[in-house]
Amino acid sequence: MSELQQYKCPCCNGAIEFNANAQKMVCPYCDNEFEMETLLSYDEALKNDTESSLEWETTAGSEWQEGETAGLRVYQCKSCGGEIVGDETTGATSCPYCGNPVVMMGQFAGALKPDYVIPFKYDKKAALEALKKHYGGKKLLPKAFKDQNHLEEVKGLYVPFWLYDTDVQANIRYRGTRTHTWSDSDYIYTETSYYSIIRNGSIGFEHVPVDGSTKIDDTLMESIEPFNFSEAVDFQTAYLAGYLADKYDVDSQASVERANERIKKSTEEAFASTVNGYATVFPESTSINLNNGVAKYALYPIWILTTSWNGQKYTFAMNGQTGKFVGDLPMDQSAYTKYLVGTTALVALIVFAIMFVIWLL
Amino acid sequence: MKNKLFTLLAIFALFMSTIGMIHAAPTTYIIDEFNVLSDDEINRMNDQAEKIEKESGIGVYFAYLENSEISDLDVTSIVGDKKDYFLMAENEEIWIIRAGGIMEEKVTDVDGDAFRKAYDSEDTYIGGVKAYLENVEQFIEDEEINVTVQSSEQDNDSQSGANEQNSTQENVTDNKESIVVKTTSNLYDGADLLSTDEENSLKQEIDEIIKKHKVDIAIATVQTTGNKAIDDYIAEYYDINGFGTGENRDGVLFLISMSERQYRILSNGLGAQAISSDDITSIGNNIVSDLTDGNYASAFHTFLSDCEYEINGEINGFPFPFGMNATIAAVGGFIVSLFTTGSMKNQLKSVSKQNKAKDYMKPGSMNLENSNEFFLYRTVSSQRKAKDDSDSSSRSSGSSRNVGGGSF
Repeated sequence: MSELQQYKCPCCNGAIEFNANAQKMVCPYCDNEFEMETLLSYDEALKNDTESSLEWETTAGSEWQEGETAGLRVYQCKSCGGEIVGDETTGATSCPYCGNPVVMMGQFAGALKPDYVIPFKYDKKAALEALKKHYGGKKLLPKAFKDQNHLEEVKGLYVPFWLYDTDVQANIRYRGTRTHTWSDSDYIYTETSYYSIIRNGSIGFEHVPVDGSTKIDDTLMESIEPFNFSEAVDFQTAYLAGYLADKYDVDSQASVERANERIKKSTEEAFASTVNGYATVFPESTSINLNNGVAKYALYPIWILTTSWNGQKYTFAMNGQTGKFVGDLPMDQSAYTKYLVGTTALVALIVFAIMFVIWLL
Repeated sequence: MKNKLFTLLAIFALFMSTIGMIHAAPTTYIIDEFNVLSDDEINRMNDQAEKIEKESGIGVYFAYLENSEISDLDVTSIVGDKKDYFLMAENEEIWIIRAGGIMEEKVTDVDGDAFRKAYDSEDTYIGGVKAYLENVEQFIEDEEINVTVQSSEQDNDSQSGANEQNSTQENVTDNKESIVVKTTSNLYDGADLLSTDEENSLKQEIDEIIKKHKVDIAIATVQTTGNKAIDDYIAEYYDINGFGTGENRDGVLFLISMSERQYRILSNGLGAQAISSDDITSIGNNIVSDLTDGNYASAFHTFLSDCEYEINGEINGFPFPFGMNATIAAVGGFIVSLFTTGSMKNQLKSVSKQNKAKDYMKPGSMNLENSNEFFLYRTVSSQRKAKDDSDSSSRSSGSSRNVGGGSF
């Protein structure tokens, strides 16, 4: 049994949660609001208030076989005593019996503690509105998908990200071409001159994010970028109350390759922008040295919406900080054929009519 | 001693007669020691070079040399005693260009490079040689180089009485050929290119067009136009033989000269209104492949149907090309539709990888420490311009007239 934390209302003892609109902890029972600043010291106090949960361990039921519990963590709800089963990365969830939000303190303790968190700025209602807007204006979206679509799950999730800061020392050699064309009575001549272009210099990157969770599709997470790090705050577990949260399961060493790819590409482009007056420019050799590289651990707010249609699962994501909404949608094949044929016929008719009028003139 | 002297004299006489035979043999303009050209290709190129010499007096030579040291090349071994010549030769990828007489005065290094580039621009050996000859020929025409008179005089000075006799006979022949054929037939096959059945079929088609549109149509083939320019020949042929109907002598004439491998189309009066210079070019493009392949009857049928289409259009108005326009409209509509629906499909896709990190670049952190650019090398490529092989002209003789055509 691991350590579990609920935030109780000092007034009515109800479970309180973080409210994205108020940017405060709010009690859903008595509507009292609590400032986030007070929670830092409250967090410290809570760390010493964990022993009582151990008393509720039970030996009832059959014992787990060897290997069965390898990926599972079992917690006990402080409100109703119900058993909460999560996996090894679950950091925050809600009790399936009483619905109270709970935070698994042990998942974010010691070396596992995130450095930063960007609190949710958009709530569930905003996510649902964004989904409705996402459906709008798409003529090839099947009508049945919109009408019959019932969301299976809408969850606010703090996704673990690794943030990489680094100074790049770049030595890039580009190959550039200039062309000159002239002609005589029989031939058109094209002279292509080739140049070697050297650019040395430095450039800095900060907070390049890489998804540290294997549960979430990396491409989906990159699609909702960018995140504005200036709104990040020092991590406090209280921000997780009312949302789901995972701890990382891909470490910073394993994630750095993806950050390097993106940094290299942007470095090449940044220095290429200083090369002017050439018809074509492409990097021929790129040597990049990273200095002062630092990786930070942060939790970023994401709304995940999932639904199924015609046996296929569709996942949408919304950036909980900026509201950017993404998610691939199905295509209505019959509507596509209808538009293809209809547009062809309409345009052909107009072109034909214009040609006929020209012929008459 | 006497016997030895006779023997030596006999050998000398034999040697001299051999030289005479060599001298009398046809000139070899194309030498192929690489064996990359077929006999037929060599013959064709030789014919083309011979034509250039006949028209301008300039000997144009081309040689692939494998067994000769190009640095010590004796040009006379190729051009003989020709005074005015141009030679391009290759040996082990080393090229030499030599010019003699007036060509030495006229051809600059730039011109020489242009001939070489013309050769290089083709993918095949025969294509390269052909391009080389065409470019030199064009150069000779542009520079208006013609030394035929001088050459004749030189030849007359140096040649024997027998040769003089031959030359006289050729002139007589030329004079005979330059006389324009007189005929009243709308189909004259002096070059004997058509079978009887083909002639009958063409005559029937010609008669129908004349009867239907009251515009004269005629086709003529001749072996040569002699020393008369083909443009002048076709005009005289039309005028002398009284072709054309009505006051404006409305008509169209198609002429082929086999020796020059040239064709011309003349349109007059209403014919000229119906068939412009551009139409002549278009008709020429439609028939030139048939002419090149020797399908003369097919080329003439195409000419007649094209003429009837244009004349009918001029008289009655062109019908709206429904099928062609419907196809163009449908293809255009489909392409526009693909773009439109493609855009709609893209609206459904919003998940994609971010390959860059420019959003996370520290503002103002870029520091360019070293910036250097230097030239490496250059290449020059050439592409032949689309060449309009037809030349057209317009003359007036009381009514409008267009003449145009090309070679095949």
